[in-house]
Amino acid sequence: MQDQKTKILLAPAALVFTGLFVVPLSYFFVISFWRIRLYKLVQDFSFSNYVSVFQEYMHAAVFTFFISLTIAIVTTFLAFAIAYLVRFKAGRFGPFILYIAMVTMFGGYLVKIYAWKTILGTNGILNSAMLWVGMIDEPLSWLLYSPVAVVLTLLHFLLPLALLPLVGALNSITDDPILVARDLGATGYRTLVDIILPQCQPGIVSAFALSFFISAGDYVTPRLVGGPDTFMVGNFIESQFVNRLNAPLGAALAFSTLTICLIALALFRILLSRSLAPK
Amino acid sequence: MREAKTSATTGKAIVRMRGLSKSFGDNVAFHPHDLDIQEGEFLALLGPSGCGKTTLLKMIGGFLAPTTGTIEISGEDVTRYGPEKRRTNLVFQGYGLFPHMTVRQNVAYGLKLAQTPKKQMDEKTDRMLSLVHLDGYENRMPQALSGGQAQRVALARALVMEPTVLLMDECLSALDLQLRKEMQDELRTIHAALGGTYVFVTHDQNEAMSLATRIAVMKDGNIVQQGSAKDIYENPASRFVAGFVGEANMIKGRRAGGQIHAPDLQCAVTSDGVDCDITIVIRPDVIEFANPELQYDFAMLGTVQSKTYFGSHLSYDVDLDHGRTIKLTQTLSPADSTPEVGQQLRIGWNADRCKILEAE
Ligand SMILES: Nc1ncnc2c1ncn2[C@@H]1O[C@H](COP(=O)(O)OP(=O)(O)O)[C@@H](O)[C@H]1O
Ligand SMILES: [Mg+2]
Repeated sequence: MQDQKTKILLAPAALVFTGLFVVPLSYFFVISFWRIRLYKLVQDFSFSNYVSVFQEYMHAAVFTFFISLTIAIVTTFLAFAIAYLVRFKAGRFGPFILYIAMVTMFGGYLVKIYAWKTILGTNGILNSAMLWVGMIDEPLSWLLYSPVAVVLTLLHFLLPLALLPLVGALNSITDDPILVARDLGATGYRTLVDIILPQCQPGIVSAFALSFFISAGDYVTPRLVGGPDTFMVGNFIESQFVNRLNAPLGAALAFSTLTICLIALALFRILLSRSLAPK
Repeated sequence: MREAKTSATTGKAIVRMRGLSKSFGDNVAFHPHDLDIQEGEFLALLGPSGCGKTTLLKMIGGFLAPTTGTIEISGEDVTRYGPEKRRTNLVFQGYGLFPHMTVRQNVAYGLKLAQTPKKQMDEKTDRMLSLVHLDGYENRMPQALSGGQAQRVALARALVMEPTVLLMDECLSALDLQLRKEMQDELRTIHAALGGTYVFVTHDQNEAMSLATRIAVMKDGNIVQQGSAKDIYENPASRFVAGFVGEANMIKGRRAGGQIHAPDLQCAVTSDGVDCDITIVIRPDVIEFANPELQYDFAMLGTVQSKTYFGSHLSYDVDLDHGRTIKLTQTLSPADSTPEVGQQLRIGWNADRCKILEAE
C-alpha cells in the first residue's frame, strides 16, 4: 500500500528524468559509435570516433581538464572561506553576506561575461586604472581574451552556486564538538582540519563537482573572453554538432570528456576522504 | 558597584575566584562573588533553570570571559586563558561527541593533540574505556550508541585528560531515571577511585544531594547558600532554599515579645529573638502523628486528606481545620499503625527540629 503510493508520487519525477536525461543521453551514447556519410547517419558500429577524439582533440581535453580543475579548486576554496566566515565569524552579519552573494546571481551568466569584458579589456577599468597609477605604460592586451579571463569569469559565476552546499554543510555542524576540541587543547587550525572539514565533506564534494562540471562543459565563456588560444572541449563539441553536423564525433567527444571528469571527481573524493580521515 | 559576596573558605583551594561576575548587556547572569573550590571535593551547583549555573561553569572552563574578577587555578591566574590553555575539561549537556570518529578516536583525541606517545596513549585510552564499561565498543560510531553509552564516552574523553578540575553541565539530565541513578553511582565510584576535583551543574536536588560533598545553591545569578547536603536540608538560609532543596512546610507568622503568632498555628510558642515577621520551616519527616503520652512544642488537630505509599515510607497530606495543608512523612516499621484518609487526629513536632527564618 505504502509502496504503491510512493511509486505513484515518484512517477512524475521519474518521467521527467527519463524523458529529458536518460533517453537523450542513451541516444547520443549509441550514435557516438556510428558515422556520418554524405550528411546521413549510418548505423556502422566502430570506435573510429573515439580514435579521432584521442588523436585530434587530446590537447583540448588536457587543457580543459586543467583549466576546469583550477577553477573548481579556487572556487571551492573561496566558497569555503566565505561559508566559514558566515557560519563562525560574521555573527549576525552572516545572513546578510549570504544574501549579497545570492543577489550577485541576478543577471545571470552573459551579464557577468560582459562585465568582465569591460573590466579586463584594453580600454577596460583595470588597464585604465593601472595606466593612471603608472604601473604600466601601455594597456595589457592579454588580460582579456586569455585563460585568465575565463578563470575569472567562471569563478565569478560559480562562486555563489558553490557557496550553497558549503553553507548548508557548515550550518549542519553543531557547536559542541568544536568547543570540546578546543577544551581538549586543539588550536583553531587543528579544529578546522580534525573536526570541521571532515564533517562537511559531502558539501565540499558538491561544490567541487558543481564548479568542475560546469567549467568543463562550458563553451560560451571561452568563446567570448577566452581569445584565440583558449579552445576548450565544449567549443569543439559545439562545432561538431552545429558547424560540421557531425553528431557522432561530437557525442564521442562529449562522452570522453564526461568520463574523464567522472574519474577526476572520483579521485578527488577518494583523496579528500583519505586526507580527512581521523587517524 | 556591589560588594562581592565572600563565601571563600580557607584550606587548599584549587580554584580561587575573586569578584567574579558576568553580564550579558544589562542582564547580570552572575553577580560578583568570591568562591573557592577545594582540592578533591565534589561540588554541585544547584539551582533552577536560568540562574547562571552554566555561566559560572563556562567561566571556570574558559569558554566565557568574566565581566569582572579573576580566576586562579592551581595558583596560576587563568582569567585571560581560553579552554585550550586550562587544565580543566567540561562534559557538555549534549555530550558533543565527534560524529565522524569512533569511540576510541573520540577518547584518544585530546591525548593525540598533546602528542602523547602511542603506547602510553593506547594504555590510557583502554584503561579509561574499561573504567566506564565501554570495552568492546571501541570501534562504534557515536550514532550507534545509546544515550547512556554516549554519556560515558563524553565522560571518558574528559577524564582521560586527567583534568585539575572536571566540569559537568547537567550531563545526566538527558538520561531516564533508572540510568541516571546508575550513572550517579558510577560517578561517585569514579570520583572515589581516581580522586580529583569535580564541579557538577544540576537543577535536580536529589542528584546534587546524592553526588556532592558540597552544594552551592544558586538563584538569579547569586550563590545563596553553601554547605553539605545535610547542612542545607536542616538549616536552609531562606524560603527559597527550603523550598528548592527537599520538601518543606512553610508557615508564615510574626514574632513579638518572644512569642510566635501565626494564623495557621493553633498554639502559641515561645521563641527568642527580635520582633519581626518570620517563616517556620518544617520538613515533612520532622512531623509526627501525636503520641498522647508525649509533649510537643507544636501540636495541632487535622484531617488526613491523602495518603501515598512509597515503600519505605508513607506520605500524608493533613488538612488543618482552617484549610491549611501540612505534608508529613512516616517511616514504616511493622508496629506502626497507619491512619486512614478522613481520620481526624493530632500532629505535632518540636521546636528544635524546625527552622525559624527571619523576614526576608
Ligand atoms: N550568550 C548569552 N547571551 C545573553 N544572555 C545569556 C547568554 N548565556 C546566558 N545568558 C543569560 O544568562 C542567564 C543565566 O544563564 P545560564 O547560565 O545558562 O543558566 P542555567 O545554566 O542556570 O540554566 C539567563 O538569564 C540567560 O538568559
Ligand atoms: Mg545550564
